[in-house]
Amino acid sequence: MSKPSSTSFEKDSPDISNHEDEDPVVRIPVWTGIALRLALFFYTDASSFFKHRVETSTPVTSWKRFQEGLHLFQHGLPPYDGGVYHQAPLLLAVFNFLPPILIPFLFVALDYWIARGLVEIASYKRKTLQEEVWPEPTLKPTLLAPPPLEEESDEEETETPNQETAGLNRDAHTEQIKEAPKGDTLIPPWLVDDPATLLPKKRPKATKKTPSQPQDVTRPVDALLQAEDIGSIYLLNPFSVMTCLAQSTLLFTILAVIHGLRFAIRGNRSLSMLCIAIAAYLSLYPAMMIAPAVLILARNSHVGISKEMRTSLPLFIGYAVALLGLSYLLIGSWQFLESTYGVILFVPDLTPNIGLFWYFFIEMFDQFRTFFLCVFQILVFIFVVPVSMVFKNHPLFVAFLLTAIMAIFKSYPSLGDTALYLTFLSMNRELFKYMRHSFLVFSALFFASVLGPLFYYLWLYAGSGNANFFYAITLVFALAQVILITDTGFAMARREWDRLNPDLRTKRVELIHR
Amino acid sequence: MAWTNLVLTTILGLLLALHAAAAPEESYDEKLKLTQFKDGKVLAEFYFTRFISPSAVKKAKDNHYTLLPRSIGEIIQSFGVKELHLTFTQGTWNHEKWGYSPLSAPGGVQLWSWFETANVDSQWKGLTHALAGLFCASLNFIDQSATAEPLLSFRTNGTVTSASELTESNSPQLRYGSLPREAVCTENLTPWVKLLPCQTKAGIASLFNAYRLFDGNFHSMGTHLRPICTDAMCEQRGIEFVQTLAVVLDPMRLDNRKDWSLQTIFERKLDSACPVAENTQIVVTVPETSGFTFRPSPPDVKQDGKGHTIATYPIHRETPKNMDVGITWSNPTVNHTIDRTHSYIRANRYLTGYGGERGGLSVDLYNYRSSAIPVTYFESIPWILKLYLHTLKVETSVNKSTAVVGDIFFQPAIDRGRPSVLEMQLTLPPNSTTTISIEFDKAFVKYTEHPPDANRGFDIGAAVISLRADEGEQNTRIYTETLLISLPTPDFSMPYNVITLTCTLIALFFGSMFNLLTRRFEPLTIKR
Amino acid sequence: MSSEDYERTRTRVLASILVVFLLATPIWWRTTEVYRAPLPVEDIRAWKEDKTFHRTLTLNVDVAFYDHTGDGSIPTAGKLLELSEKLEADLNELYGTAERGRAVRHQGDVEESVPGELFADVKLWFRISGGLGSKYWERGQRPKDVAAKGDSWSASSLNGHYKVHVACTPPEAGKQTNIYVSSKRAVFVELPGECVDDVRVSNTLLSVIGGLFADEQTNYLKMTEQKGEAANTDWESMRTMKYASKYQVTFSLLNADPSEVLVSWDIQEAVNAYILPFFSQLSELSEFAVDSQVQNYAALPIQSQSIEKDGRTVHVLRPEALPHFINSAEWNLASVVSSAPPLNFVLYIPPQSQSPLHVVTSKNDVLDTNAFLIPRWGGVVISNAKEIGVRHFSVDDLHPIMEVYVAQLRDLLGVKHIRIRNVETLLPKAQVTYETAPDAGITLWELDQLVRRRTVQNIVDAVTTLNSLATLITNLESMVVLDDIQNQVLYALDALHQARLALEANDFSLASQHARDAFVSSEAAFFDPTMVSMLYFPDEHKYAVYMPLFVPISVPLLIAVIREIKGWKNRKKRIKQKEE
Repeated sequence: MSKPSSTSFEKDSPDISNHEDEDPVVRIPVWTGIALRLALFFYTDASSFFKHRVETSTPVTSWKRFQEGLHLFQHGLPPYDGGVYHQAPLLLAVFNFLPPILIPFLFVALDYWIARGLVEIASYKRKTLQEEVWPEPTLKPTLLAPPPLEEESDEEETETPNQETAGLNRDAHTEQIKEAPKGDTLIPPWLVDDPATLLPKKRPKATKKTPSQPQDVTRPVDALLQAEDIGSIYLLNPFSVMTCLAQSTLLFTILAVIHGLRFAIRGNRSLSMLCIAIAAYLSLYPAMMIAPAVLILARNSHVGISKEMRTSLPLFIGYAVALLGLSYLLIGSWQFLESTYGVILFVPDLTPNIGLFWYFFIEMFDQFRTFFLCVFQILVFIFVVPVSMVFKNHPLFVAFLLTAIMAIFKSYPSLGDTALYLTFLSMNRELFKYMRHSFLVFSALFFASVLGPLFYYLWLYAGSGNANFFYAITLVFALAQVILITDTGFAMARREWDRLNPDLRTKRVELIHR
Repeated sequence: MAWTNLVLTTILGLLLALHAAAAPEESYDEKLKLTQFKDGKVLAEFYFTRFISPSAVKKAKDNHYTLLPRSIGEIIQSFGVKELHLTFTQGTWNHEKWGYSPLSAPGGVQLWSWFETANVDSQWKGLTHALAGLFCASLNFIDQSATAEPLLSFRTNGTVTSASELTESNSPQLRYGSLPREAVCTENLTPWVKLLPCQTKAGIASLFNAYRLFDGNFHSMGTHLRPICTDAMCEQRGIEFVQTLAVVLDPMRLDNRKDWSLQTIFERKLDSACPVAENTQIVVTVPETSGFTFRPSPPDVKQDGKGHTIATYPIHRETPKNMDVGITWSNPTVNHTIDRTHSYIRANRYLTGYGGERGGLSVDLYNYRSSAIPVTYFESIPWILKLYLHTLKVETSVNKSTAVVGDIFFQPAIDRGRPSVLEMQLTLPPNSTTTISIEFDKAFVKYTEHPPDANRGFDIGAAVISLRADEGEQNTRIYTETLLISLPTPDFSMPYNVITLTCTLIALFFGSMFNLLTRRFEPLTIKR
Repeated sequence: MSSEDYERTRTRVLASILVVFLLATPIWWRTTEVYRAPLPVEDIRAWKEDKTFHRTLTLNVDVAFYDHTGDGSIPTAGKLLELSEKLEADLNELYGTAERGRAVRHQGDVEESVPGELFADVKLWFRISGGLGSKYWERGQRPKDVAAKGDSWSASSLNGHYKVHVACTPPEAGKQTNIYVSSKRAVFVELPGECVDDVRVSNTLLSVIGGLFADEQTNYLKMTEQKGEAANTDWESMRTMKYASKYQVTFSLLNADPSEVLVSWDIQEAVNAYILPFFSQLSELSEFAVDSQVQNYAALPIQSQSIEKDGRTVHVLRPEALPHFINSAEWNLASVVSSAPPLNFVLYIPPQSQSPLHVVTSKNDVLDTNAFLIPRWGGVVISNAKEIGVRHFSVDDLHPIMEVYVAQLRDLLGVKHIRIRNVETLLPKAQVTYETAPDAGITLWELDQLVRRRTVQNIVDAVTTLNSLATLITNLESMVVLDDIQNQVLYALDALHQARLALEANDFSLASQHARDAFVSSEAAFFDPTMVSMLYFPDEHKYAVYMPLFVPISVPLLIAVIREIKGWKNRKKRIKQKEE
């Protein structure tokens, strides 16, 4: 199951766990991540390797293309008058005066700031999780009914209802045996063999720290999230390491997205909208991150969502227009619109990537090309409104869903996007025990990310395979992510149901989904 | 290409103007230059030169043609062409052994033309289509995505425009296009021959024997048209229309003897001069001073400074029929040594890198002279290769101190729109090797954009190195090899499979997401 | 959350998704439709079946009487009335026999026409005036001189207006009726003896006027009965070119063997002198692009026979050999750039081995023109080289050749000689002279007739083309119809309408311009390259492309909608129950 989370558990030791409001930078994993990056930058040529990998650098984020654009720009040639450079104009201004030696440091710094932002978001998530209201069951759970035997055998992968209920009463009677001696607190011990549970020594602290947590058997005790771990998870995620080494300009987008949410949490509306606007300006799709930001802002300022929308949307638009205006001043023509957003929307460059667009539009018949372009692009945005309506109480979960959808269905996805939403996923650790296909998903992701480069090599270098090899792998990758999304979604729904139906939590109920 | 007989032509034109001949205002000359190479090969260059005087040009403007072929005249009229150079070539010119010839040309088809008109692009399109029809070649494939506009190379040969009529609207513009893949054959030769005044019925053109012409190591036929000033102020402008055909034949291969004659290399003899031509001559050049005999013995033989013997045979009406010019050698030894004094610049272009994803393009320029030589390098590369200008490197073997690179002109490609054009002014240091290298990514193109034999790959036209005028050999051009690039190909049988698979995935996503959002859990136990 | 607001969210979710789908449908429509600009098919059809367009070409003929008897005994007004009535009756009879009857009613001096049922046929509308303008034709003047003199009327006369001058001269012995057809829309008739004998007068006029326009009428009848090329059956129109708004006329000097004789010619001057005037006359019908070239070693692709003729062998081309003539590729006469239909005129210099070369009739007598015409291709003139060496055709040398070319051009372009039909039989004793064509090579009579014929022809052709275009487009659903095609068609229809109005107003030159425009733009629409490249993607393939995505997507959507509606009904029911 999710490797990062478990690793982070060895990391945090009880002594520092009680003063966790201090700067998380002191934590080892973070520094490991930074050090790892710098080491790879300066002691290996991993950087130049990943710069050329299609998995990490796409036509709209590739560092090599960015260099070309910068070179043209610095020699007075119009950078967008050509088929190579498709990235935002203001990036040129950023790198124009930057001495090349500093560039790796800049990208590492980007990752560091992303991690910082994630940590803050995670602590917010932790807060919301603690404040979560679990209504008491009106009648105390009666714990009877010996478990059916087969429950023991398959507790890993079966339908949620059975597992739930099985968990319920099995743990119930084990508890009576186990928990009698040390009777300080009553822990619903079905969590004991739940991989996502805390280690026993951490339990009392958790309970102590959260008095809101009732002596309620039926409420599942969630692994209390250590905010700093999220930063570590991001920094140690191989995908994000690769992206950083490839010096993909996608990092700017991620940074902007993260800080959009971060400032939203701080309740700073204008800054948050500015960041989202920057993200949208850099790569268009993150515009949909307005939704979670607005949800968070609305939560903090205790105003209606629609009202919040009405105030923050104009801000966003204003910032976006200002950015475009700046770029116009920089370039001196609107050519860049067609060459950046035009490329993102109409996908003229069919260089392979881990996404679904490239092979589809290599093979598509000409007279349907535009139509399917529209369909695909609409598909990315179609769920923004519904998702944020249904999960309006869980803005960060909305953020997770949207980033994930982007990472799968944007026109030029790369592993950086995957890294981002995986980090968001790791924040919702309380959902893991409700998930049904996590093993399938993560093994599929793993194998896809191993086989992808292999098949790519077979196709383009060994010449022994053909394009279908790599295409198949991208399909598997996308499929795994789709399953992951929906599975997580169902887990959330299931948990919500548990929360809102206290009396039925402990009952053996057949749950149908209708 | 500066034909040495241009002067001759004009002089003849004047002479003809004096004694009123059949066509006092137009003149036509034929010339066959036979050059013996040291390695035994023989270069035969046919020149069919027409000079159209200004008055005749005026007539041609009213569509009354005499010597100028009507089809060519029409093309000039309707597309505002001022200067036109079109070559069909097979094989590569070996600069090292054969030196430089104005008729050396890159493989395939090369077309460049100066226009003096508005909306040049549409005119260029019309020109390519008209020429395609005229020469039965697929010239119409030179579309916008294969057309370059050189700024430094291919300067005009003739005087395109006089200062008086040079305005903003019709300032002369240049277009360049090439089809490296075009295979040249008799179906191109036949219409080309039809443009000759005597076709193949008389004159040196009667030597044309398709079997032998296309049997040579190098074969290039050209159609060149350019304006000529006839007065100092260049107010009066005539037209020079030259058809050229160069073929390198190998007598050694035909019959293992170094001796050759028209009969042995063409299997034809010269029957009569073309009656329309005022002046017909055969010039034989041998890079030796002794050890051979011309036959028949020429009326005039002279030695030039560089140890060449040049014999000239004027052909008249009263020239005996079945005339056969040739050489017999007393020492039939051939030597394959390379004479650097005649080929002092060599270019060698090749691809670097491996794999279907990216690669590099490199050119080695060798200068064997002891003096620095200024050249202009021109490269037009289709959009399927995405060049990275920031990877452009120019390195020379000797003293780095000298500034090698002068002006650089680079036009990045636009996908499906235009090629990348790279032009550089270089000064090759003495006795040096200069290497130009640039990296590129290969484009992944739609499956409809691949040629029928997709796995053969795409051809990249030759690069052009022009020795700049101040080097004496004015307008001498050196052409590199054409390259073959293989692009990564998709599976051409896949469209429906891809549509089905991808769409299914998307549908799966949509369906489950939709369910997640519109359904809810309900306990069965509640209702019973 | 409570089940109510859960229901509400669900409705909202569904709504938001459905909204997106609805917004997307126009995109689907726009991006996958085959673009077809709407064509006014009904209007086009209407032109085909249109009975109302059956118009008659109305020609005005003025008849003027002149008294050359000297005793001032010109016909009185009353006599004129009788005369005109008689003439009218006779004309009716004549044309009536030719075709279903139409009337030429006569009310004093003013006439109006009664439309007949038939498309385009000639109808005369004439006015008889006696003695008027007697100054114009003085006694004793020869018609030639009078015609040459010209007057205000003939200077300003228009297509479709003609004048018959009748002079009543005193009877002289052996003086015949003298009819002189001038080239300027006028006929001069000298009647020996007073015009009192109105039978004779009316007979003469009848045969003159009737004969002048009879051919034209029959021609139109043919033309309109088979809508399309006029009477492909008759030999006349087999040699005439199909009409085009522009012709490419090429004069080629073909020299068989330059080694014997080198030729050159002053073609430009010759063309300017002899051909261009003719073309300028026809400029209102078509434009002509002229060019010339010289070709050497060009052999005639017909085998000539050598025969003994008065002692020396001559080479002859027999008429039966001429049809084997084919346009030789050796001559490369084709133009590279222009797509206009070519008219080739060849001056051929045979080699010594074949000269003298003559074109002979079937009876082996040599044609002095030494030329032959190739239907719908052009003409060839053979000029035998007199001596070896250089030969230069000066303008004077070219004059006779150009005459031949003009004659051939007249045939190729369908210019018909104006003749009074079977005047020999009707007026046996009359002596008819036709004024020869001026330098232009075409008389106004002929030009008028040609213009009228081409006008009708073009209208008919344009209508036919438009109709076949309409049929094509209506039959091929997946054919792209671009806007410019639509514009062309609309323009053609408009031009047709204009032409009809002009015809009704008897303005033939205007009508011919509009008819020409209609013809050109209808052809342009029909032969537009974009019509050829039609985007054809069969429907079953479309399904194969759409289904994998849209079937699985739409199913859950539909189910959800249905459930939504059900739930909504249930809620209403529940509310009802609560109320009860």
